Amino acid sequence: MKREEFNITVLPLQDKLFRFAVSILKNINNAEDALQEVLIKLWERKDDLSKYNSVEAFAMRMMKNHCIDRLRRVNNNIDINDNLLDKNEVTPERQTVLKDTINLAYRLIEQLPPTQQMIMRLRDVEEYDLNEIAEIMEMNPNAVRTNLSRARQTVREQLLKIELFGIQMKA
Amino acid sequence: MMIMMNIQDIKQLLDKYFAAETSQEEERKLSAYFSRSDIDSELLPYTSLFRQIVEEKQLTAPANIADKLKEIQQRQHKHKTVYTRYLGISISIAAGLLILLTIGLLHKPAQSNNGIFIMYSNGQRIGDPVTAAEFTNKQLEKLLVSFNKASDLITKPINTVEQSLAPLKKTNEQLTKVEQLLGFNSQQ
Repeated sequence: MKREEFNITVLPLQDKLFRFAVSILKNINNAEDALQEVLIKLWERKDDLSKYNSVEAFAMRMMKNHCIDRLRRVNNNIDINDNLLDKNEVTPERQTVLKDTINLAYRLIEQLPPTQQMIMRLRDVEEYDLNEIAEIMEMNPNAVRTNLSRARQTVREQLLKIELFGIQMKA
Repeated sequence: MMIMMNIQDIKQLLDKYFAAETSQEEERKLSAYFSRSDIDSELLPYTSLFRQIVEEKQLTAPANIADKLKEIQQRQHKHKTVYTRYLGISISIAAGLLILLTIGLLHKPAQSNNGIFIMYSNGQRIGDPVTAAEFTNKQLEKLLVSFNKASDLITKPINTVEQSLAPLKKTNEQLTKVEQLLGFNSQQ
């Protein structure tokens, strides 16, 4: 892929890539670094890009893996296993973002397991179809649907609970 | 169309949404409904979710985020241009040599049996020895100019490299002096 074509295809994806990075890393500065690094990584692989059906899905997948690697590097003193992503720890960085956001739904989404958060945002914020999400998440479309449904159901239950009993969410 | 949707339709769409069975189009309808100011009180609890989604869509990457990439692209483009330039020069030199060879081979004055001078250059017939000599001289001059241009382009970067190495040479000399001094001290 030549420079012109690369810039036309990849550069318009930067907002989506950035939002995805923010949603995984929970930190704006780290997300900016991740975006810069992923754009350069994509440029380094410009000759392979035409091989992929969807450059966009490939770029988003690269961002997901890049952010997960980054989180693993930060957490290198804890056991690294496949469940790392599903550890829903509230790090100081995350807490700052949580505190800064007063939106109830945001807090509810943030309490979902990370895989569900990612899938919910890829669908609701980025409006990808289930097959595209499956490609980005390296999962099968049925698993994507199940995760999406669980995520939305959890948020719904919490919203109704709060509405009924006025339960205060812990920040 | 949105205004025409009644509360029952919205409720049905919501059920579909939470079961992850809505299409993107239906999700857009829900989003449009919850951005209204006259939301049915029964559906108010969901407002926060749909408004949060709209809010997250607003987040954009910093304007200068691709600067680093563009810098790398620029640098690589420059290198490529320099490479192509040197490749061009090399081809010119090779072409020059080829011309010289052609001149050498084809300009060999051929003396015909009846004593008439004939010379061929690039398929062109030159019968007069004086014209032939002038033509040859012109070709050689052109070649010389090309060689000079090429050598200028090559020597400039070499000079730059030599200039940048100058401080290193100085450091090296000073290091040698220090070594000598140390050697002198250890001998004592």
